[in-house]
Amino acid sequence: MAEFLDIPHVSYVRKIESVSQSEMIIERLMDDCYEKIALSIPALITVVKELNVPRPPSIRGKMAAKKAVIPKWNADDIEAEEENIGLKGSPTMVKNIFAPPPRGERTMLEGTPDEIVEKLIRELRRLGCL
Amino acid sequence: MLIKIDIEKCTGCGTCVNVCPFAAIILKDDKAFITEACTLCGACVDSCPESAIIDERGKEAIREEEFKGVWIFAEQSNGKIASVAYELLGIGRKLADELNTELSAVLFGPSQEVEELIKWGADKVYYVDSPDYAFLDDELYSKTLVKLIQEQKPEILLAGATAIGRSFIPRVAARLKVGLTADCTGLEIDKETGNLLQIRPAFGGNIMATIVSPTSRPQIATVRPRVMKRGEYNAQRTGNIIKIEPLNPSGRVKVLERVQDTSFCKVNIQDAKVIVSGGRGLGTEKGFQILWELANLLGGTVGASRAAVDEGWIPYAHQVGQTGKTVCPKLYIACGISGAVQHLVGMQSSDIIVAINKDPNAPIFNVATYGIVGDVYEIVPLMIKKLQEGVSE
Repeated sequence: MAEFLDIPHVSYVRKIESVSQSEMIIERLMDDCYEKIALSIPALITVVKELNVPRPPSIRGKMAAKKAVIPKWNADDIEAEEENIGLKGSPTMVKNIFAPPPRGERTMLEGTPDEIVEKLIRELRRLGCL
Repeated sequence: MLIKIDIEKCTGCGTCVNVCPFAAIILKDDKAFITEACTLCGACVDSCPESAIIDERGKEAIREEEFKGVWIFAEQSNGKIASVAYELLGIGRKLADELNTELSAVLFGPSQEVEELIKWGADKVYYVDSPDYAFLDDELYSKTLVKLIQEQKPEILLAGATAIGRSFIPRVAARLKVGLTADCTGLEIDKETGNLLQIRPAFGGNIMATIVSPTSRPQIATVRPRVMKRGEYNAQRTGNIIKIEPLNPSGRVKVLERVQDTSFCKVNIQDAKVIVSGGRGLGTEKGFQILWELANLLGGTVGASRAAVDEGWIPYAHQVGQTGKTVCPKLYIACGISGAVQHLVGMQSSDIIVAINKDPNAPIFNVATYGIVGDVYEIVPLMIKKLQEGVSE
């Protein structure tokens, strides 16, 4: 979306530190660290769960929500070209679907907790896991 | 496939099912579905009273035959090439050999390890060594990769489904207006058409889907770390390293600082050989203390289900599953995890899975090598005790 709008984007944002007129300071979660980033706005960010805890809805908000009129738009309303949306607009398609292959051997360990744990440790030793 | 059903228009009347000379159309949930038996004969197209069958066979012409070669994007962090890059070279080599074509790697950012890509199977490396590329700059990375693709025209591009790949590869696909399949678990070449068959779990892993991009090139796919196996390492292997002129960054995104040493960064659960994982069944944040104890004893780390992370018992970096990390340790011990499919897709390729749960019907037992019906707070401390005593030697 950012590419079509020609704006910058940053993914996996875990914290918005500050927002000014022209830029925002954010933290991006990477696989091995996080990065502090200055991002010029307008921009698109995608966020991870840590970013925020949603506040509980207020009674007044709930009342307002009941009465709110939410417009529903379809493709015609937003003047989307049929060629570019839905199945027609997608370059990928599902060729086939199938059930995932089942996993190999399964064993339920039974007995008293003591016996179970000993059995397990013995098995894990045998398999070279310990 | 070049003939497809518009599900919204399809009324499930079954007319096309009877028309198809190859019995390649079946009814599923009152909608027509074209199976692999389809020969693209087109007999069904005009039969549909709802005009719900889309015929795109004409589009085939768009596909330029000149697209050749398999590419993988090799990401680096602090100059160190990510493990997933070598895994991509493993599968990339197979695909390239099957297509009888070259395998190239693309490396952005300075790294001492560029030769390693050749030794792990690449024929060529397109290398940008400018320091502007040291950190992920989505716009710069995608602009540069798009330019390279337009010049060299590869038919397949693979990248890691990592923080880097997931972030900028969609931008590349959008700019090129081509298809992208995320988080593939299998990649094969369709022997008849030469299309890349991109296999991935759909609907939370309940079902696997094979996805193709028949009319656009390159075909782009991302693959999660630890899903593919590395290929053969050959220290004598030679290849071309081609330096690419860097582009100028737009400056709209600037990395100010990289922070490495906070608590959540210490865990890279994807590299762990042993993971002891906890879920809602632990009941409390304190439960993770005994899991840490067991993990430390086994030389591993701690993982968690989404439920435990949502409760705030442990940071998100530990989360295993659909919206967390995919892990593939030698030993995965699931404690108090029921085993929702979203969790299973993230851990079911572990070598050995031990599940401890009170509920004998928990779905986690379907993937467990060893299942234990019992109380985590009884079993885990016993394990710790017996391991410390060195029992049953």
